[in-house]
Amino acid sequence: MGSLASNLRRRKAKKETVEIDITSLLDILTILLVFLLRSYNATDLKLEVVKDVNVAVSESEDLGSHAVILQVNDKKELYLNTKKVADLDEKGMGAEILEGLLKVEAEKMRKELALLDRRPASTDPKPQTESKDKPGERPLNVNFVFDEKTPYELMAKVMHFASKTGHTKYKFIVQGRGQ
Amino acid sequence: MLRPRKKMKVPKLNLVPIMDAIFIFIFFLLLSAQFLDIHEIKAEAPVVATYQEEKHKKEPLNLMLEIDEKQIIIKTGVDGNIYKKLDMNENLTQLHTLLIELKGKNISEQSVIVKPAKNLEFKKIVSILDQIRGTKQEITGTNDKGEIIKTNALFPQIIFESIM
Repeated sequence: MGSLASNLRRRKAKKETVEIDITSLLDILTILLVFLLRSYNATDLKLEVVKDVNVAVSESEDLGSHAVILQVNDKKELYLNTKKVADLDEKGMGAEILEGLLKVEAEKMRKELALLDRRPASTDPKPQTESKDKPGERPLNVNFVFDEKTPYELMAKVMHFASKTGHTKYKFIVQGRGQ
Repeated sequence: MLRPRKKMKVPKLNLVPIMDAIFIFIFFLLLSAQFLDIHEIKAEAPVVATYQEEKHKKEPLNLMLEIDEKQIIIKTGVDGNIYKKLDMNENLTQLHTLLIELKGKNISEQSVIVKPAKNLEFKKIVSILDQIRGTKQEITGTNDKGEIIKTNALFPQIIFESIM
C-alpha cells in the first residue's frame, strides 16, 4: 500500500511544471536593445582604428563610406588599412612608399568600378551616376585617420602621395560629439 | 450557504516567441555595433578640384582661408584681397558669423580653399572645418538668376590649396 501511495505522489509531482519569472530578464534585454539601437551606425565603413590614434572630435554628421584607409598615429607610424607600412618623420618623409602600395589598391578598385559599370541598370541598386569619368580616370576615395596632433606638413605629404595614385577624394575620419 | 469563490485564473502571456526574436535582434546588433561614433569630413585635392564654368554676372567669391597658429586670414576675389583677419585665440564663432554673412551675399558659392600652416595640428584644422561646412541657422539669399534660396550649408566643398 505504502508503495502505491508513493507512486501516486511521484506522478503528481511530475505534472507540476516549474515556472521561471523572466520579467527581470526581459527588462535587461529591453535596455540592451535600446542601447544597441542608439549606437547603431548604418555605414558600410568597417574601421579598425590602430593603436595610439586619438581621433579628432567634430560636429560632422556625414556617415563614412567604404574606401582604402590610411592611418597615422601619434608615433607617426603610417598604416595602410591596419598594416604598418612606414615610420614617418615630422615632415612626413617616408610616405613615398604609398605610391606603390596605393597603385595596387587603385587598380583593384578600378576593376571593381568597371565591373559595376558593366552591370545592367536593373540589378544595380546605386547606378554610378556620380561621375561621368571612365573607370580608369575616376577619382577614388581615400579615408584618412589622423591622430589629432598630426601636423599639417605630415598630413599634406600623405595626402599628396595618395592623390598621385588617383585617390583624390579625401575623407577625414572624425569622432562625433555624441548626444 | 455561500460557496467559496473560485480563484480567477489570470491568463499568462506566452513570451517565448518575442524573446526569441529579441535574442536574434540583439545578436545581430552586437555583431554590427561600432562603439566609436564615426563620421567623415569630405575634402578634395587641389589638382582635381572641378570649377564649374558658368557665366557669372558678378565676380566669383573665390573664398580662401589662410590659417596659422596665431590668426586666420580670410581672402576673397580673384586677386585674393584680404577680407578680414581673425585672431586664432578668439572664439571661432566670429569666423562662423563672418562666413554666414559671406554666404548670404554669395548663396550659390559652395567651395572654399583652405591653406593651413605646416605646423598646424589636425585637431585645429577640424575645428575650423566645422565652422566652414555648415550652420544650424537657415541662410536666405538670392542667386544669379534672381531666385530666393534657403540653405543650411555654408561652404561644404573644401579644397586644400597646397599639399606639397
